[in-house]
Amino acid sequence: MTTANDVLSALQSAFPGAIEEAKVDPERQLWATIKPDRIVDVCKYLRDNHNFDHYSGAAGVDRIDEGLFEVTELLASHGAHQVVALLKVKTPRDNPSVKSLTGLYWNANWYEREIWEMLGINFEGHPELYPLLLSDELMGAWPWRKDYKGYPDYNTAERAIEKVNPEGYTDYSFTPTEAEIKAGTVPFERPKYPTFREREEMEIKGESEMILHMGPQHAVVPGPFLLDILVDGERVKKAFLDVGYIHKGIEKIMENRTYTQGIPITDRLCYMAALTNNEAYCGAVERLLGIEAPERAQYIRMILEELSRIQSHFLGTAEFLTLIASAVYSPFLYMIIDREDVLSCIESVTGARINHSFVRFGGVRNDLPEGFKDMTLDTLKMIRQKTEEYKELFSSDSIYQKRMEGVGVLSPSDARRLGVSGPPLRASDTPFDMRREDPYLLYKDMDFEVITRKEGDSKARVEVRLDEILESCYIIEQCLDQIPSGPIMAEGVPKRIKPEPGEAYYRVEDHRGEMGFFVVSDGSEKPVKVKARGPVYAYFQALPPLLEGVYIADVVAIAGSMDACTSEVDR
Amino acid sequence: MVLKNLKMTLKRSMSGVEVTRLYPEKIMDLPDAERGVHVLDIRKCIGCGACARICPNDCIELVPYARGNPLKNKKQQYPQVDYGRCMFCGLCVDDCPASCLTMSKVFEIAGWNRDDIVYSPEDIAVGMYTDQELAELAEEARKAEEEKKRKAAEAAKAKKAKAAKAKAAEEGEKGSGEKSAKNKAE
Amino acid sequence: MGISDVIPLPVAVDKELEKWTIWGRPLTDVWFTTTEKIHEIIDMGPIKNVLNWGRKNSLWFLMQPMGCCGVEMLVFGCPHYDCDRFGIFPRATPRQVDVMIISGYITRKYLPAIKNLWEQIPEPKWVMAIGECAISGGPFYDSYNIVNDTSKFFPIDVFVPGCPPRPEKFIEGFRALQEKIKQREDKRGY
Repeated sequence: MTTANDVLSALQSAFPGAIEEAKVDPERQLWATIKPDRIVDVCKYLRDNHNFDHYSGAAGVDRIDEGLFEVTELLASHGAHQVVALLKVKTPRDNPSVKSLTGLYWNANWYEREIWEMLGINFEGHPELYPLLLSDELMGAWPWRKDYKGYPDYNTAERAIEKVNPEGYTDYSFTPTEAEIKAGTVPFERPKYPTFREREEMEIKGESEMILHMGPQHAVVPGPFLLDILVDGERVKKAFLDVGYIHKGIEKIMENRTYTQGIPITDRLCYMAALTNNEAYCGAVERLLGIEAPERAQYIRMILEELSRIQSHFLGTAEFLTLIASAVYSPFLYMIIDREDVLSCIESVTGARINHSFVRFGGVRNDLPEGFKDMTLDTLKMIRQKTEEYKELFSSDSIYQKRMEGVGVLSPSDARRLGVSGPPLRASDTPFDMRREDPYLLYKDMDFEVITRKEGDSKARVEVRLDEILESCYIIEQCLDQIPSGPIMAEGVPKRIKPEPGEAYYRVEDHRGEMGFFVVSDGSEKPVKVKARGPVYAYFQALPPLLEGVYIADVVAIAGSMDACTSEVDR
Repeated sequence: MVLKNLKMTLKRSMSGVEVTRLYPEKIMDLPDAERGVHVLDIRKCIGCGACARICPNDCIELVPYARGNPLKNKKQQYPQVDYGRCMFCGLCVDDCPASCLTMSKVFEIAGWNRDDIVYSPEDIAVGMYTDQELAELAEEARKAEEEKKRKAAEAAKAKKAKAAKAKAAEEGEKGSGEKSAKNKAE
Repeated sequence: MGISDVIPLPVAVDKELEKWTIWGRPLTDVWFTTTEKIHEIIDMGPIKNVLNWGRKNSLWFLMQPMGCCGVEMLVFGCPHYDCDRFGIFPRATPRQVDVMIISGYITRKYLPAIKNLWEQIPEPKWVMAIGECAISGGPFYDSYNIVNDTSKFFPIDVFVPGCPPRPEKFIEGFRALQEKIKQREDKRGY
């Protein structure tokens, strides 16, 4: 079994002098600062010799006091071992530049683009440094830098200027804020790049090819995004994805809130997975504070997170059904009906239907109410029965089978390369589940199975979700049996939280895959950086290559089976 | 097969279970933990502003309120909640040191205008003082004030006398007329 | 233009008809002139109440989920809350709707798109701001990318707070809108 210490000693012997400082904390996380010119070699070595084949993301931190930018690369493995390597690269604040990892990991693309557009760090060797989330107007302002003057911005609406663009639509531009004018940071220099429209028009080769726009508004997908597909006849030749229509700047906002005030904002990251987002954020801060929730609180968190998983999978499947055809509209309504019962269970504890703000540092907000156990057991019984019915329905319906079988096949190697996680990865025959891989809470004591499928098509992805609902029921039953009595908050947690300077990374199994929070503290009341590594970000990035070569009719079937949530992509 | 699906539909429709919640006529039973409109116990509120400070959305503002307890500091302010901003996270409730701010099960707060959904202390208050109580309390406050004034005056007098005595002991030789003049100057 | 130009009538009858008035306007204006004039006349009398009664009981809304409130909007149309009871239906295209629900964060990048949707909706139309983000920017009120006051861009008739509002609040919001239409207090004045 590879441990973090093994990896560290191997690195130190393979690259003497390239590693500036390194530590192992806690036992499965390896933190190392790498010399900027050796980062690609180090990552290549880790990938080839130590199975670090999962590029988990990257975070850019603005250390304005030291005059540095730090880029932290998060590397992990798809099940070969449980070590997470967090490799830091430092670069000066004026003219920052870091070597790109896109040559090694395909999915480093979006993470690096995001850091480029937000912080202005150039990535040498990146094939397409185009904006991802920001509008063209804000490009070059580098909003996530600490010295950005456009934040806070209380009166955006008053500064809007209405105009009509050449195509005849109303468009808006915004004058800079007073603070920006005062500080003299406007007008800033915009980097040169082809716009989204120009990029896709460059790809049109023949006369038979045309671009089909889907979005940004769509009736069913919760959250706007633009999916443009270049079609040749009935086949999709290439797909382009434009996200950022609901980019809210959550990470910037959280830097300007105290740790406690950050909890409700993590809810809004992905509203279907509010509890797991809370869990990931609170887990990271708890690691910084060095506290642990009491056992009862951990059980309560587990029960609610699994209930939340059930409702999310129901809604995900239901939305998918409305997307593929109205012929399966009734199951959509049935699933929403079943989901309401689960929501009632959750609401009786947390007091809210969707955005719970329930998990606290070192505990939870409320205890379980009276009669919760009976109510939940009744609901679970119903859910089991209904889920079995749906499974039977899907397996027996010949129309559904024909529509879904072999559509959007993601082979295991492709799924790992594209960086997807959660149900789509498990449907591609990779048993990768954070609850087993990197057990948090008390999942190591729980008996459950990691659901996998061999096929990797849309049908398998839905089946994995339905089976996971059953597994979640089983976990909740175990929790309800074993839950001890006791306090729900750890003792000695101060009201004003001020963690020691340091960094922490904490990952959990979201309903859609691997959710991780990377929190950097400098000892003050507000975090220096909060980076949310979401699962849907990875799905979205994997969508264009997945759509290449399929029929137009299958596009929604594939996109829908991913169970996307735009809110979390855009943040 | 398709017939199986039809069977399921029939089973569902024939089961006779009605799920629709007849909202405007019948309000659903909400759990005790429900986070709805705030309730402010005006008798307990100490006007510390902890709720306004913790609020991530900056939606609580402390405003003067005429019907507060006259016995307390006259400048004490009470929270006003702007429901156009509140995200019902409950942090203010957790942080209230006097436990006077809670959340109720009431959720019906739609408004025609933006101003309709800004709730002043009066809108969210419970346990408001009646006019009679207010009058009594005001009387009490006036008495307390008078008492305070009287005491202060007495204390000042005593102090003055003491000082005069000390001075007299120090400068015993000098005349009494001079002494008082000097004290005044000091 | 007289009636006899359209229907063969004796000139005497035509002359007689031209004398007839309805609320101080010649009757022929109503029958044979532009819709604009008809509307002017309708606005003056109680026919408008009948029209508004019809309108307020068939408010079809645009299914355009943007964020957390979008999920509750979906549930609002489903059996537990059953918006059809009130004549409220979700529609997928702006060409078929009366009400646009702003159900989430409007960003600088999305504002032109949602404005485009609003312009495509045929008259009469109303707009509701549902959820904190649509009303004031909500948790993201100080963000660099959020347009935090939508009432500058849309004539918002009803504000429904909540983050997200319960599906009951959607019903409540629609009832408030119905009342507003009934009382002829709505911003666009139908």
